[in-house]
Amino acid sequence: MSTERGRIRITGFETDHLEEREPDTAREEEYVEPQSMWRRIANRLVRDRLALIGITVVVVMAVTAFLARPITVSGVTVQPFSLAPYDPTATAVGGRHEAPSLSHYMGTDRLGRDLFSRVMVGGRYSISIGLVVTALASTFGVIYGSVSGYFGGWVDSVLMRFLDLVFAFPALVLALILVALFGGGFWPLVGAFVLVGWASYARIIRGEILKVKQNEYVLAAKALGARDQSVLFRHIIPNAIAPVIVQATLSVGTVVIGVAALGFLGIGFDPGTPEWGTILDGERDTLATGDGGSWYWWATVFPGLMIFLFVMSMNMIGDVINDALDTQVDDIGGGG
Amino acid sequence: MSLQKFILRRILASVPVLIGVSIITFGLMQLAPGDVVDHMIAANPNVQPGEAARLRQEYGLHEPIWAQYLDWMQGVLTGDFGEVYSSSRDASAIVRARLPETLLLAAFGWVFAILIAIPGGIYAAINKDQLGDDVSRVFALSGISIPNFWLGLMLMALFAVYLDWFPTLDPQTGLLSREMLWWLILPGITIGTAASANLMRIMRTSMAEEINKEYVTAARAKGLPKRTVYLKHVLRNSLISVTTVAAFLTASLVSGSVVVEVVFGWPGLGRELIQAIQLREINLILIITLLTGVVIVLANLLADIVYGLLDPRIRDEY
Amino acid sequence: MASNNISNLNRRRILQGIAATGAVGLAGCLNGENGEADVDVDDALERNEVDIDAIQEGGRLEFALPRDSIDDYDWADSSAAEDSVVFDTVYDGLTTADSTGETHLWMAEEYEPAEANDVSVEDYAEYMVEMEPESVEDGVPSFDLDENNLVIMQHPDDEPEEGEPMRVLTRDEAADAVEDGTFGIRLEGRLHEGIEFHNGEEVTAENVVRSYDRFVGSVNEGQWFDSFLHATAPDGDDGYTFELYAQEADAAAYLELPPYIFPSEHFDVPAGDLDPRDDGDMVPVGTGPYEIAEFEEGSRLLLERTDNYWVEEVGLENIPWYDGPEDFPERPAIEEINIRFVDDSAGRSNALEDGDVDIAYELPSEARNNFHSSESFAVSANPAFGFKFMQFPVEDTDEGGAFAQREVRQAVSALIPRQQIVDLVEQGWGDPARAPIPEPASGMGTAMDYEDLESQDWAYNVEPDPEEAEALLEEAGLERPVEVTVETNSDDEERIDKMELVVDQLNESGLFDAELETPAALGDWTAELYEDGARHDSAERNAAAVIGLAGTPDPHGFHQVLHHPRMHNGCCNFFFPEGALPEEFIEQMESCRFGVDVAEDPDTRRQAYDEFWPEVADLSANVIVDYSLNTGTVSNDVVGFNVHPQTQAILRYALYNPADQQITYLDR
Repeated sequence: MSTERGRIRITGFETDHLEEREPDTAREEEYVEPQSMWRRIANRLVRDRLALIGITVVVVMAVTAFLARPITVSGVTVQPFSLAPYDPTATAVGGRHEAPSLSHYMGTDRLGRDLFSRVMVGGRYSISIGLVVTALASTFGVIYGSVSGYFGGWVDSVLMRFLDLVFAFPALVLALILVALFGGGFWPLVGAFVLVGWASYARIIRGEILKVKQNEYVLAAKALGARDQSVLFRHIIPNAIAPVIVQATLSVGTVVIGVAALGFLGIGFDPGTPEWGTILDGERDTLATGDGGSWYWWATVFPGLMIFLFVMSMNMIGDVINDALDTQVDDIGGGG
Repeated sequence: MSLQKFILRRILASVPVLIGVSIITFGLMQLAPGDVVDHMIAANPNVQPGEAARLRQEYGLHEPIWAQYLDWMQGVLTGDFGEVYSSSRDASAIVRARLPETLLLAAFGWVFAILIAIPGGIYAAINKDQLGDDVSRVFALSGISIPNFWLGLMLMALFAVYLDWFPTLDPQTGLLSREMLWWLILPGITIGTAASANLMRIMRTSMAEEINKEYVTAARAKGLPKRTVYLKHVLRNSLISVTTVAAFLTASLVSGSVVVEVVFGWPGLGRELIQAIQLREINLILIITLLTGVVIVLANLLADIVYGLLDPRIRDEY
Repeated sequence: MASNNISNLNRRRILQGIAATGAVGLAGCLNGENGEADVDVDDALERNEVDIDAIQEGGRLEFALPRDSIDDYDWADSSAAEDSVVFDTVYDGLTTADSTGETHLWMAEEYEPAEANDVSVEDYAEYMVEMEPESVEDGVPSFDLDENNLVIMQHPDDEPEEGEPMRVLTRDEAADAVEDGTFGIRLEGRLHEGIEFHNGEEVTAENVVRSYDRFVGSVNEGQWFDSFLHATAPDGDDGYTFELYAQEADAAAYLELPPYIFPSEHFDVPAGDLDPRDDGDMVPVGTGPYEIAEFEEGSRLLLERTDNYWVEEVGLENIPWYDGPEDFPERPAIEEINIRFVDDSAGRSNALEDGDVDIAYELPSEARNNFHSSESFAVSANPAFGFKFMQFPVEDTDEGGAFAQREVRQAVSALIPRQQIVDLVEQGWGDPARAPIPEPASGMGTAMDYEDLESQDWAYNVEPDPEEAEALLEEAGLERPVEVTVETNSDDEERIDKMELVVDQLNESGLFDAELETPAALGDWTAELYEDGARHDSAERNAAAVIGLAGTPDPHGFHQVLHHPRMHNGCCNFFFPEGALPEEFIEQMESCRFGVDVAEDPDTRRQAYDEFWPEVADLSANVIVDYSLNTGTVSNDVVGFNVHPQTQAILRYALYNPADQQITYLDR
């Protein structure tokens, strides 16, 4: 390039030496490449002891629940294994209220049914409802909240008003009313808890979206002519999804407890269904020992313990995910 | 905007929400199969088939739905909450009798939760990532993972039935009497556990976040003692998120009271609600649901006010 | 059919063998780790006698009521059975029943059926007036009448239509009919003189006659005015003689007509208003041995013994049938009764164990058994009026319709493991049904001894009889296994447990492919069953319905409600509208209760029933599963407690009844 044309000559702007310079080590911390959210979660989960325990427990419970008794779909045996030692609905396989022994690990209930088998199969109800409800509620809630947050204006106001309405009902009371009025069973329970649960997700995602909406990359995308839908789904939601994931893992436990609570109240599943809460309801009388009677502790301790273990494990996982997703926030706050 | 205006605005905004609550509840009751008369005549061989129609007429249940709703609304505004059909009594009498019990239970749960959660959360935050933090973390997680009805059953089995430290029966003395308060302890602990666990986690997280903030480092650098910094500034700021969550916890306390009252036989509105639902006593269900809505709305309002008071920045925005 | 001599232990072995699916087997595990011997119910059935000289006066009894509050203090309007437990102590009646269910005169010195006529609705037509209904809902008209007046019957030919006058008979016209001699049956009676209410007013014929006013407009109105026609006081309001009239020649009128007796200050209180929680002046006042002393919303109710109990005034020697010891007390021994409301059965058991209450009933069976074997507590048992029954849809539908044939119904009944149900679910505290009525109702329902009735060859079998079932199905010519469903309500665990045993047994036999369904809670489910088309639907699914009911001391309470087309779509006839069951059967059933011959002569009635029962068993449209045993558990502080067949009398009867020399006292 000629720089001698009778004009002002500029020197000193060679950049080579800048580009070849060694990385700056004056900063206190190593520069860490920001990881993708999922990577971070996976890393934390693997390293945290409590989370590992939680994952193990959940997986073991889910697998044993699945393999407990054969499952047939339209006559085709999808799952042939039978881990449960007895048929959970068979009465009088042992005496009434036998203590835990080698032949009945968790003892028997008031009709002589094996409690261990019942508890194992019971996992199916709780785990499946927990997962299905969370999946459905979060999906619906995210869509609702996204629409509300993204479009703003009167759309937002109206949708938020309705959300306030749902929040004015305490969750369990509303689920209780729905199930008591319209009957129990798997899908009615799912429906009731979804109707009660979607609101939290909507509110969370809306909050996040309000924050993220103003970010530059969104404005840029819109300036480039991307449609609302694509901006929403491809840019905004993925960046706002973190708290929703945390909420989802934590709320699986809430749903499981809620279903068990309704079962305990005698609403939800028919008596005799080996769902954990329903078993507790049926065995509640064991608390009355009469004079000189013995307390058949296994009948109430084991089903409740199962609920506790499962929920605790889910919460431990959720806790760690929560920490994982907060880490980035912490770093920015601390380093800047 | 001044505090009064703010409160007024919020209250006015709550009214449509409460009306919505009542409409939804009313609608659900109408959609449900079976009404109160069906339940009255079920399994009662003394009631002839023709009775159903007569009873419905007497109770005004044959009128169009919107007319019934407006009637009810009119009654509520004048303090008449309608009739409990199966016992010919006023719903308001039942509410008056049972509401204090539930409030007492919830209040105990609240106090218990705060007394455990705040110190616990602070302790955990200060000892972050050390053993103390881990222990409290497990505790808090257990607290929210344990089903409250099971906890109640276990507590009752151990302390009331086996050890006989607590009564299993209503002592039939006044509400605030010693015996009643003693009886209150087990159900109160049951209902407060989940709330306290939740609060403790939030306390820990929010305080831990605060501690990380710049002004803390700055204050410490300036030479202020640890205690002053923590108690005066950090605590105050972290209480902001705590109050918000505490308000939300009111909803879960209300839900929890329903189940806990059944487990312990505590004579409150939660237990009434369950019976009312089973009998389809529409007036009682409506008024109790409305009351829970009011409580939740009030709790949120209170949280916002406290929020505003604690954080001057927010207040200025108004 | 297995002999009744098989010991309990052997029976269990057989049952375990039948029901067990695993190889748990018969040795060792039978009695569980606790090694309990089989529960011996017999000594609970024995009466606890009292030595008159040992009776201690006074004290406060803590009684646990299985409800969380009094539903309605107005007995005329209350439909809750537990309310009656309390009111039975406050109000005495014209008659009383002893522990075998036999009725004795009480406040009435004389009371008997006098004259009966064979009348029907048409005979009243000439006394009817024309009235226009104010409104008509669901084919049911309602009229605008004066207070205390109501329509007793309508002319069968007049369809209720809004705006159209129709012929009806109200209480006013009923009086005219009676004067003319048109009535079904007249019952004559006379009160003892000198009976006083708690407020000091003397009971006269006016109280009997005007008490009926209180039922007008109440929830129970239909029940009371179903057979009631008119009441008069021939010697005037201040006299003691009274006459009660029923619409038809009804043998059951004797027990069913007498009202609760109210004092004159309450005659005009509208039904439902006699509730002191809403108005402190409205305290129930009766002639019973206890009055309401303190009450508080839901949590507190204290009853105190009255000072002027009428039996003391009148004297035991003036009670015509009394033939017990002269020095038997003339009033209860216990001074105060504190009603403790404990809704939860486990809670009641714990309260009893802790000593917080002295008497509790409806306890969890395990707890009750432990109380029974304990030294510090006692359980009293008595056959009661409650029963469980299975009702079959008899419509001959294209799909399903198996129960249209009586052989199939009989086959199912032959397989019901009645003894196992009582042994396993109730642990012996119940009675497998053999006869169509329980023992306490057999007084007027059979001329035989009850044991003879139970051993008739048409009686229900207590052990499943697969051979007979198979033979019956052969006769019916149905393809085996027959798919059937057993349905029951979802909110009663014991009932569901029992039905699980039934279903197990049906499947075990190979003759049926049975499954259990629990559609909904009782109120919702029965509402569904009453809907149009439900009956047809049940027939298509071969779905039998199982429900529990409490019968009455009068035998008709066990079959009329289950079979009569008039009760269709009311409790508890789900499947039999007009024409579903054979006409002759319905007529025979009615002739056991209605008709001059049975109304005037109880023996004729008993014979009529003895001819009717084999038909009931053969038709098997409803089959009875088991009969309940009422039990009550008391601590050792309570002496002399015995339980009554009627649950509502459980407290009242135990406190004081000279019929069995029954009295309870506290020994603290």
